[in-house]
Amino acid sequence: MLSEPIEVTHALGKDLDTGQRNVDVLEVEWHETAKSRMRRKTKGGQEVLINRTDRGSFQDGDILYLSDKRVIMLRIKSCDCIVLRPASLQEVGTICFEIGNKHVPIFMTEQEEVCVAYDGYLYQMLLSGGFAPAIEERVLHPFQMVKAYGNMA
Amino acid sequence: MHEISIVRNVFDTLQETYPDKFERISKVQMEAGLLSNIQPILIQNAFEALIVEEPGLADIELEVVQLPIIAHCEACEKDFEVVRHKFVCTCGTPSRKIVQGEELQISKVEFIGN
Repeated sequence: MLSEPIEVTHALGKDLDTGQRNVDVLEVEWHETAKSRMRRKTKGGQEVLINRTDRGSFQDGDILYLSDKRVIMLRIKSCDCIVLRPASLQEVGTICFEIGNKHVPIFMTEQEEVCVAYDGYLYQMLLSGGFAPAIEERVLHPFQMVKAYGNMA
Repeated sequence: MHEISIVRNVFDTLQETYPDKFERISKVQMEAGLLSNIQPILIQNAFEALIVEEPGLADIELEVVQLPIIAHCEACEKDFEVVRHKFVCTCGTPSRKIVQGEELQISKVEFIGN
């Protein structure tokens, strides 16, 4: 292990051939994937300094560091989420409008679910509005975040 | 909904509290309860926006830690964690007496060289 922190300015990519290298994992919260500066320890104890200048987000599984012997991979921690399963496009619109009014990021899954991180007041509001929200443990992937100007994988 | 002013207030407070050491701040930790009506992502995004306005803050790490909801059960006189929005103690008694979860506060400040 290196005594100095490993500085990471960008992700090297996903699905890289890591061969026989030892894979160490850096876990972050879902709301930390777009942070420009962050100092954390990997599960193996290596200190990593995230110091990025772009405005992008890390994705789950991104390789942050690659050496002859070692790989550091980013993993996004799961969290309690409010999950909604709208029955129609109109319901999707209504739900996203209600949640969007609170400026909270919305995530759309491949199963056409609407997910947001659990928040007590938001859950209560959705429950009172008759939207039948469920609370489930999920990983919120940045590429699933709904953006007004479209998503970029 | 006013996260930028919240973050700005945090750094104004730190400037007032540590006038001689403000330039040496390396990390600020905030705690936000799950009933604070503030999501960490909104604080993080507001901080990133503030950095654009005030580049001098770019070397500071802002960490937001979420606090779980803790309620008090008056039947067994114990605190319990509210899991998945169930405000019911393990003894079966419902409670809305919140002990933790509504906070939004600065919890830790780290300085370079300390």
